[in-house]
Amino acid sequence: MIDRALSAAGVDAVQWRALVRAFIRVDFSQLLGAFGRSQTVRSGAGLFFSALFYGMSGFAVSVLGLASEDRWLGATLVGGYIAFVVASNVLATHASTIVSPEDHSILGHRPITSRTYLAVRVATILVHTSITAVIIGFSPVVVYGITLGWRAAAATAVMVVLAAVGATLAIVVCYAWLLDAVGPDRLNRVVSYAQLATTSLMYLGIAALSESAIRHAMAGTSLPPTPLILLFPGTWFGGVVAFAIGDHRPVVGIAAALAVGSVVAFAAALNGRLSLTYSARLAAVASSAGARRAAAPARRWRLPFFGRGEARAVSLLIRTQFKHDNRFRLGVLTFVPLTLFYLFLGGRDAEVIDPFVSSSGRSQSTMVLQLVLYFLPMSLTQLLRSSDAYRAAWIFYATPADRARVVTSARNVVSLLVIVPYVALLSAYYGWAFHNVAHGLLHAIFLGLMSQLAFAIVVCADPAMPFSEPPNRNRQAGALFGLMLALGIVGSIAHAIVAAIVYPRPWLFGSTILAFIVGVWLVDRLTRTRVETRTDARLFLS
Amino acid sequence: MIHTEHLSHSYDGALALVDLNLHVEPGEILGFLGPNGAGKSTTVKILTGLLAPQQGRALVAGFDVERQAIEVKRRVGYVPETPALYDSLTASEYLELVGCLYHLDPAAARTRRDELLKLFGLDADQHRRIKEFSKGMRQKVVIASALLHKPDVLILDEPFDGLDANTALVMKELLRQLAGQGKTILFSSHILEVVERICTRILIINRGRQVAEGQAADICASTGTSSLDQAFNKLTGTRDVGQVTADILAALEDA
Repeated sequence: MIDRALSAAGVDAVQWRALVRAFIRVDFSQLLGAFGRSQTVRSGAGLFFSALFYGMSGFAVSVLGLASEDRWLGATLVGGYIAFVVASNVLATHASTIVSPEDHSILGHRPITSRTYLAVRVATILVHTSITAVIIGFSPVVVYGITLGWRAAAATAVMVVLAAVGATLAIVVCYAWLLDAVGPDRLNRVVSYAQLATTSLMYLGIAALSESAIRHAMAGTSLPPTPLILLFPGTWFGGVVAFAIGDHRPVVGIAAALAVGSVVAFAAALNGRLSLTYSARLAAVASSAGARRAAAPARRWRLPFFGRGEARAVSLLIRTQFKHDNRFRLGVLTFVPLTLFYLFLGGRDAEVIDPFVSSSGRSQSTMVLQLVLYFLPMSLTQLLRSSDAYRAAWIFYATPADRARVVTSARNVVSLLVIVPYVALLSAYYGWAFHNVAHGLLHAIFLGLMSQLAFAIVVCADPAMPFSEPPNRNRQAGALFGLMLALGIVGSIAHAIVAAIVYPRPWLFGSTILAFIVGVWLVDRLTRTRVETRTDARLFLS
Repeated sequence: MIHTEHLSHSYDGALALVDLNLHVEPGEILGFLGPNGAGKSTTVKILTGLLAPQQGRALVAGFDVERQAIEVKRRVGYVPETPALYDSLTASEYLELVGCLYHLDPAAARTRRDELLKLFGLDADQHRRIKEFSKGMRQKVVIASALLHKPDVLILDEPFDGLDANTALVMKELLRQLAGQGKTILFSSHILEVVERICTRILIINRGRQVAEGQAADICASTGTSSLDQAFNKLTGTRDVGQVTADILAALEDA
């Protein structure tokens, strides 16, 4: 049946099957043992924690959705969340797949039509997003089924599929459109900034709307039946469930129709855009772009403290990667909107209290603390260790480089380039919010040192050469989950103690700052002993 | 000097290298030959400290590759078979990075880097990103990076891969002169004509075992063949060349 459907769509079924199988094998190569047992175990653990994280979040959001008396609002929360997670996944991990010019060098000379290529690429991405959607969507289907009956369960299942497929196709269409609009030579840079802008919008828009929806749900209110509410795509997917279980208001019916219609429209819009011909154009322009460019030396300033040996080598590498590696640059830049988002939420939900003046009340720092303590160090560690250029890291193993120094220098370069500006930003914000520049600066330094210590601990726990591992799609969410639990709990307790005891006492505050510095130094010592046993050249030996 | 004693290695029980005894004196260019999967790359990786030997021992420049790996790496210039580079760096930046990893004095490293880039005809392209380079240009960058720290020992795995004829000529002469200066060179390649022309001695391995050693003429004489490729085929080929060709043609016709 699939063969007949593919043939009817002008897709070569045999090629489609072979290529989808090959691409999926490539994508799951770490899990399938292509990089050795340890990578398989890591990847498997990552996948497990990802599943746990997504599964639990799916359960939580479905329970939250059912708390609302307005079924449309509740289902909107669930559908919006699934669409958000799937879209974030596609943005974060499959962007390079969509815009890959390498496909042309591998497939360009084969008798493959653009339509087949399109079908293969879309199918591959959908396999990944389907796995995510099934894991998140399983709980809502069961919870809705038990609570509201089989009709609700079936409608929820349809909503999960529509939300996942719709979000995936929407992102792919946006990419294909962007590629057409800007041209391949400026593509990578534009795409990375478009990713950043989209991520920012998603964080600021969808999350804020969800936050608002949660508040309304808790307050026993409902979604206003105005057409304007349809501007939020989550309401479309929520409309499917609401309509199926008996809410036949026109606006709900339109929402449900939009859910189905958007998927069809996106699929139609994709046709002809994402093609192998397109990939050929990408490859051709990518290879000729260099020849047109003048070969002038790049302006480069020297980083203080990174003037010689391994420190200078990694400083050069990290700064160049930031400039020319989209994945790395985008990953780092994502902290900017995220921080602004956290500061915005923190400022909106509670008064920003100067911890040097009063330790009572909910400090705004709690929100930022989460970011500083687990998200920033964990994400930086992931960004620093993985790259598409991971095979080039053989040079760290074939030269007499001190690998421990390479690891710690890489971390310090990132700290200097990311955490220090981050502290400066926080310092300015807190200085303004506290109406006391010195308190703002000290508070930001305190948080920055906590972050540096957490960063050092994360790196020490699993040291790796910079940019020496293939990007692992499963690992990030798993690691995030583990670290969220560990550092989040420890950090929150530490923050409560700090706010109540440390901040009001200058001598204790100074001692704690010193303890952080000593802590980083001690962790560095420990890292040195772990590097030799934990880093190996296996990835480059295959 | 390169010296191995009873070197053995296996991957998941499959033998890759069996009891290899190899000796290369300073001033010598050893041609290290073998068919695909013979154990050449495993040997090279052990000699460069990338892989720890499971049995036996290996000395490079007088240092044990397992216990004194850093000392070995300081003295070895290595060109891997499939050299991956950081595409985001320029040629000049890549050599700067490598110079830092060898702890070369920055000023001296800059001078040597400029010299090598000029010698390999990359001076005009030194500020272009490596991702814009052709295969041959990338290979030149790798060779330059292997020579940057003036190593005593050169371990070259398919160094001519992708090089144009002119650069290949320069490389051959360069290797001869480096050997003349007393450098120890291990040269692994599938291009038998080049090996025959520049190597002072040849060692052939097959399925992890040494099957021949000596000068090209001696190997030909011992195998009763008139050329090195015939000798190589006789020592390592499992099937008759004519028969294999006929079988392939027949398979193509059947298809």
